[in-house]
Amino acid sequence: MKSAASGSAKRESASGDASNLHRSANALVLGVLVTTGLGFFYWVAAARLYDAEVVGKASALIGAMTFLTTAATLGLTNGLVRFLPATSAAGRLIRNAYAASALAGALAAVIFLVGQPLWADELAFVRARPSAAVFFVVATAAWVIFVLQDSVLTGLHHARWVPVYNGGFAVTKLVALGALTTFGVWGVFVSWTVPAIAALIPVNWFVFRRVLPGRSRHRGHRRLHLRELAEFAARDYVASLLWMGTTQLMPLIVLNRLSAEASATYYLSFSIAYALYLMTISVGSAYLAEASRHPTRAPVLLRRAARQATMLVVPASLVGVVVAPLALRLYGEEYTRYGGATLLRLVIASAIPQVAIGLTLAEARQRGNTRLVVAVYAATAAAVLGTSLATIGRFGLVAVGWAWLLTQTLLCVVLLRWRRVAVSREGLALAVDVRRQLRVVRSRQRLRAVAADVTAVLDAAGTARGPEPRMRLLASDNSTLVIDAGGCVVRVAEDDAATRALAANASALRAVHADQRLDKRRALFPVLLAEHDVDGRHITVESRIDGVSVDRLGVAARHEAVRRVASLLAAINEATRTKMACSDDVLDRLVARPMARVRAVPWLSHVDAELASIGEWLDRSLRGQQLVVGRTHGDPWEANALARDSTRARVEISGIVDWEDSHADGLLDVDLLLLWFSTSGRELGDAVAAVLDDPSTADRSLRNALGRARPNRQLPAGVAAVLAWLHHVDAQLARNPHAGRHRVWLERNVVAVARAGAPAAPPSPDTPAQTSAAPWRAARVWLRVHAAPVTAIAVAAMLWAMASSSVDVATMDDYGLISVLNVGHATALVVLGASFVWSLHRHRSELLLGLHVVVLVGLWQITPAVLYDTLRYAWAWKHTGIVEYLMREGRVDTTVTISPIYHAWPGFFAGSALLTDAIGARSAVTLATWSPLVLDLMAVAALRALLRTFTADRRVLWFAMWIYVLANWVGQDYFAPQGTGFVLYLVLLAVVLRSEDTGRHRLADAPPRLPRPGARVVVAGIALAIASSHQITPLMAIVALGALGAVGVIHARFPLAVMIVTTVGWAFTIGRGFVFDTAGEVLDEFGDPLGSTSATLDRSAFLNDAQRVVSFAGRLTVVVMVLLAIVGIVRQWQRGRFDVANTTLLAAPAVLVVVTPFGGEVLFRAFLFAVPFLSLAAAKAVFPDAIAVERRRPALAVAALTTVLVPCFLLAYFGKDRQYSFTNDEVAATTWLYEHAPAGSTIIEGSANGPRQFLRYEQFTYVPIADESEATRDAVVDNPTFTLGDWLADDSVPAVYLLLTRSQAIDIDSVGPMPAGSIQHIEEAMVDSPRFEVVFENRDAVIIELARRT
Amino acid sequence: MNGRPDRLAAFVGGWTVLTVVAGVAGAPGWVRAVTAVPFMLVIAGLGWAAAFARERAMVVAVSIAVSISTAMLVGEAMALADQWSPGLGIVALALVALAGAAVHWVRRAT
Repeated sequence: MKSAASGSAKRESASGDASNLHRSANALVLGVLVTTGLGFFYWVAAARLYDAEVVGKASALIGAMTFLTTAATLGLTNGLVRFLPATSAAGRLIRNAYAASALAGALAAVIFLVGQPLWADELAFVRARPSAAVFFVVATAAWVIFVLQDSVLTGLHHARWVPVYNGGFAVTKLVALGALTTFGVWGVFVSWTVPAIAALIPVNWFVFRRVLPGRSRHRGHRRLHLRELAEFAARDYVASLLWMGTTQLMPLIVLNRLSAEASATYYLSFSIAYALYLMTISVGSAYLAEASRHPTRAPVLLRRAARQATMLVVPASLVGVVVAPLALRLYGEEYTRYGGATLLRLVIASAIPQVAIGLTLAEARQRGNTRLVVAVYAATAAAVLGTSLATIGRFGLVAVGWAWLLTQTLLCVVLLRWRRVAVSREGLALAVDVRRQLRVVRSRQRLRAVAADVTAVLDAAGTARGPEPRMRLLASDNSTLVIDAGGCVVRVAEDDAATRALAANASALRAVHADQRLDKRRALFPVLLAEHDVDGRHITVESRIDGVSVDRLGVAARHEAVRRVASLLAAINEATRTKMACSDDVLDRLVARPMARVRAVPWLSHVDAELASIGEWLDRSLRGQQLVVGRTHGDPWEANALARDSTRARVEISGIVDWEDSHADGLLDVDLLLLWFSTSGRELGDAVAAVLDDPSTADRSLRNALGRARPNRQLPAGVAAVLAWLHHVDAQLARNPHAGRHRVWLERNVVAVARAGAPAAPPSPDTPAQTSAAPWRAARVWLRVHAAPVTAIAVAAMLWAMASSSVDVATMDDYGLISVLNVGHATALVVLGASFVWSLHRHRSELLLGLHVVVLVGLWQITPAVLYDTLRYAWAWKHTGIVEYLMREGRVDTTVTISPIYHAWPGFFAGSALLTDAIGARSAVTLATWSPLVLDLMAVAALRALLRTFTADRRVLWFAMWIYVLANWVGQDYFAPQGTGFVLYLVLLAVVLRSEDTGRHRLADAPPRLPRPGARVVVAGIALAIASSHQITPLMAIVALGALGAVGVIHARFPLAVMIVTTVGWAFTIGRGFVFDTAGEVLDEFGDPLGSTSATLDRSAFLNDAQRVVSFAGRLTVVVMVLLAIVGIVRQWQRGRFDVANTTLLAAPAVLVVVTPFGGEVLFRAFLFAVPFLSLAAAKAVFPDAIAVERRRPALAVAALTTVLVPCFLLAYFGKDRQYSFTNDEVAATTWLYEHAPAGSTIIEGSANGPRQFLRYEQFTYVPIADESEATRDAVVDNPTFTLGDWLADDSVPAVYLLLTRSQAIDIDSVGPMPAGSIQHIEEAMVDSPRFEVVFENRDAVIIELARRT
Repeated sequence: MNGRPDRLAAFVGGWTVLTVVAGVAGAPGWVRAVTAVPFMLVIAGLGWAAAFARERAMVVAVSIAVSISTAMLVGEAMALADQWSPGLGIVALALVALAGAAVHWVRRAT
C-alpha cells in the first residue's frame, strides 16, 4: 500500500508540474498576444492620431528607453526566473534586483542624455527642459522594474497575472494616447510610460504582501549563493546584449544601406514576427521556472514545453506567412514596398526553427550552461548582421529576411545536433538527473535483492556484525555492486564478465598476501575474507581499508598522493621484480591477444589496418628484449588509491584497491604511464597520441609528474605508452561489454591512437586489404567527430564569399583591399580563427588543422584573383612578357639589353612557358593570376614536410604554419622565380635534414629517414633547378646548408657541394654575361649592405598617411615575429631543448643582407627566408612543452596573436592594392600600344607601375619618369610640354609614346617620388597642348604622341 | 613481386596518358588545363616521391619539387638548345613521370 500511494503521489506531482508549466506558458503567451495585439493597435492609432514626424520621434524615444532598459536589466530577467523558484530569500532577491536594475536604468538614461548630441541628434527636445530629462530618467528606471515584474511573477509561479496587468497596461496606454494628442511627442511617451509606472504599485503590493509571506513557509528552498547568481546573470546579460545588438542594429543597417522607408518596413515586419519569437521565449520562461523548481523532472517538462511551443508557433507562423501582406497593408500601402511582404514572410518563418533554439537555451539556462546561451546569441549576431551586411546591397530588404531564416535554421540544426552529441557524450545528458536517480533506485533494488545472499556469505565468513549487518552501497556499475557491510567490503558480480573480474581480483589478493617478498607492503592490499558463488552470483568479501579515494582530495594533496602511489607501485614492483625475455608467449600475452580483442570490435573495422600496423610495430619493438617485470596493478588511477590524510604534507596512502587487472609479471612502465595519463586531464587516446607525436620528452614529463622513472627505459617511450594503452583498452573491453559499442569512447580512446599510428611501422602487405567502403566510413566518422569545426570552416568560407560578392574594388582607398572589406569578411575571419583556436586547443587532427590553414590561404589569395579586373602587380605582368618571349621565339637571348637577368636564369620562365603551351593558352596572364594561390599552397605543403623535422607536436606544427600564413606579408608569392625558388628551398632543406646524411641533429623519432641515394638525387635535381632559375635562392641555400654544417646539424658535404657547384657553374656559364656585366656593381655594394636598402626604406618619406600605416603594419609584423621567436628560443633553451637547427636557419638569412642588397629588396627577402623558422620559434613560445594538459592560456595566446597578425597582414600584404590592381582599360590601352608601336619605339611612362612589358617586351625602350633623376622629374612636372616635347621629338627612334594610366597616378600620389597630382597635371598639360595628339584614350589611360608624327 | 596492381602507379600512369592525349588531340583549353596543371605541378614527380619517401607530407612536398624542377629543367634545356617544342616537352615530362611510377611499382612489389 505504501508503495502504491507513493507512486500515485509522484504521478500526481508530475502531472501537477506539467499543468503548472502549461498554465504559466499559456499565461505568458497570452500576455505576449495582449501586449503585441494591443501594441499593434496602439501604433496604428498613433499613426492616425499624430503626425508622422511626431510618431517617428516618439518611437525613437521609446526605442531608446527600451534599449536602455534592456541594458539595465543586468541579466536578471532570466536570473529571477531561474533562481526565484528555489531560493529561500526571494524577497531580498527581488528587492535587490529591483534596486540594482533601476539604478542601472537611471544611470544609463543619464549617460544617454549627456551624450544625446552624439548619438541621437533628433532627440534634443528631451534635454531641452530639465523636467523632461528627469521624467525620462525616472521613466527608464521604472520601466526596468516593469520589465522585471514579469520575471518575478513567473519565478514565483504567478505568471497567470502577467496577461492581466499587461492587458490593463495596454488598454490604459491606448486610452491615454487618445487623450494626450495635444502634447505631441510627449503625449505618446507619457501614454506609454505612465500606465507602466502606475502598474508597478498593485503588482508589487501583490508580490510582497500576498505571495512572499505565504511562500516563506514552503520547504525545499535552498540558500542562494550570490556568486552563482552573479555568474548566471553576467553571462545571460552578455547574451541579452548580443540579442539586443542584433535586433536594434538591424534597422540602422537597413537605414544606412537602403533608406528610411525600408528601415520602417523592416522595423514593422520584425515587430510582427517577433511576437512569435516571444511565444517561444514565454514557453521557455515557464519551463525555466518549473524546471528550476523541480530539476529532476526537467526532461519531462522540456518535452511538454516543446510540444506546447510547437503547437502555438508553427500554426501561427504558417498563418502569418499566408496573411503577411495583409498585415502590412494595415499599417499602410507603402510598407509593402521594398519586398516588405516577402521579408515579413521570411522572418515569420524563422520563428519555427526558433522554437528549438529557444527551448534549448531555456534548458541550458536551467542547467546553468550559460556559456552556450552566449555562444548562440553571438553566433546569431554574427550570422544575421554579417550576412545582411554582405547581401543587403545586392538583394535589398529581402536579404535580411533570408539572413534571419537561414541563421535560425542553421542554428536549429547545429543545436539539435549538439544536443545529440551531448547526449551521447555524457550518457544521455538530457536525462542525466533522471538516469542518475534511476540508477540509484535500481542499485538499491539490486542491493535489496542480494542482501540475503550477502548476509549468508558474511555469516559463513564469520565477519557479520550483529544479527543483520547494515549494508551501504559504495559503488555500482552495470554488473557489479560494491557494498560496505560493517568492517568489510562485499563485491557482488552479476554476470560472467564481472565474475571473471572479481575472481581475478580475489586471486591477486591471495597471491600478494602469500608473497613474502612484499613484507609490510601487504598492508596496502585488502585481505580476501571470503569468496562464494550464491545463486549464480559471485560474491567476495574483503577487509575494508580506511581512507578517502585520492580523486577526492584537494589539488595539492592529490598531486602529492599520486606521486606516493607511483612510489608504492614501484616499490611493490621492485620487491617482486625479475627479468624476462620477450618470447613468443610473452608477446602473445602483451600484444597479440589484446590486439586481437581490440580489432574484433566491429566499430573499429575502419582503422583495422592501422591497429594491425601498431600490433606489428609493438611485436617488432619488443621481440627479443629483456624486460624487467614484477607485480603490477593494471588499473592505477586515482580512485583506486585510498589516502588517510588529506593535507599535502602528511598525505599517506592507506591502500590500493581493485587488483583485478593485476599481473605477477607485468610491466611497471604500464602502471606508471596509466597513472600519469589518468592525471593529465586528457582523454587516454589524446595522451597516448601526444607521446607518439613527441616521444622524446615523454619520459622527462613522466618523471616530473610522478617522480619516478620507467624501469624498462630501453623500450622507447612510444612503445611503452602504446603497450599501456593496449592493456587498458583490452581490460575495458573485457570488463564492460558496452564499451565496444560506445562509439564516442572508441573514437576518443582507440581511434585517436590508431590514427596517430605506429611511427615506423609500414602497413603489412596483408592488412590493407580492407573493403572499399572503409575509407568512406572513416571519412564519415571523421566528419562526425569534427562536425563543429568543419561547419565553422564552411561557414567562414561561405561568409567570405558572400561578403566578397558585394565588394566594389573601384572604391578602394589608400589602405588597399582592407578598405573595401566589410563585416562579413571580419565575421568570416573571426569564425575561422575561433575554430582554429578551438581545434588547436583540443588537439584536433592534423587534417582539420591543415584545413584551417588551407582555407586561410584560399581566403587571402582567391579574393584578389576573383575581385580584381586583371592580373595584380606590375612585376607579374613583366614576367608574363618573358614567358611570351620564350613562347614566341622558342629560345633565350643572353645578349638582350632589357631584363637580361631573366634570360641568364630562365628556369622559371621556361617551365611557365611549357605549362602555358600545355594548357593551350596564348599568354601566361591567367596562370599568373592564380599563381599566388598555387605557390602559397605549395609552400604550405613544403613547410609541413620541413617543420615536421623539428617537431612532432601537431599543435606547434600547425600553429607555426598558421603564423607563417599570417606573417608572410612581403608578397614574394606572385608570378616570379622567387616564389618557386622559395618552395624548392623549403623542400631542399626538408630532404637534407631528413636524409641519412643528417647526423647530429636529432629528429623526432616519428618521421622516417630518407634513404641516402634517393635524397642525393632529389637534392641534386632541386639544386640545379634553383641554380638555373634564380639568383638569391641558391645563395640562400648555400648559406643555410653551410650554416647547418658549421653548427654540426648536417655532416655530409654533398648537399652543400652540389649547391655550390650548380650555382657557380650556372653563373659562370649561362649567366656569365650578366655576372661580368654587373660584377662591379655588386662588388661596390658589398660591405655597404644597407646602402640601396636604406634608399628603399627612405621612400617612406614620400608616403601618404595611409601608406605609412601600411608600411607600419609590415614592420610591426616583423617586430612581433622577432620578439616572439626570441621568447620561443629562450623558453626552449630554459627547458634544455634549444633547437640549434631551427635557430640557425632563422638567423642565416641575415647573411644575405651583408652579401647583396639585391636592388634594395634584400630585407624583404631575408624576412621571407626567415619567416618559416621565426614562425616555428614563435609557436614554441606559445607551446613550449610538447606534452601539456589543456590550458586556456595558450589558446588565448593563439587567439591574441591571430587578432594582431590578421589586420597587419591585410594592411601589409594588400595595402598597396589600389595601385597594384589594374583595370581592363589600362590593359587595353597598353595592349593597343604594344600592338601598334613599331619595333624600337620608346615608351615614356609616368612610373613603372602598371600592366607593362607583357608583349614584344624586348622591342621597346621604357622610360618611367619616376625613375629619372630628381632634377629631370622636377623639369617634367614644372613644364611637361617643354620637357616631354623634347623627348617625344626624338628622331633617332621610330616612334616615341607617352603612356599615362590610372595606376601610375595612384602610385605617384601614394608613394612618390613626385608630388601628388603630378600625373594628372602632366596629362592635362599634354592633352591641352596642340603640339601633341592623343592617339588612344579610354577611362583609365591615355597615349600621347607628338602631333607632327601623326 | 606479388603482381598486385599499385594504385599510385596506376594513377600517375593514367593521368600522364590523359595529359598527353589531351595535348596531342588538341582538347579544349579547360580540359588541357585540368589535366596539365596538376600533372606539371605535382603528378609528374609523384611516382619518384612515393618511391623515395614514406610519410605522406614528404611525398607531397617532394613530388611538387620534382615536378616543377623537371618542368623547369626540360623547358630550360629546350630554350637554351633553341629547340623549343611544347609537345616534346610534355612527352619528356611524361617519360619522367612514367619512369617514376614504374620505379615506385617495382619498389613496392619487391
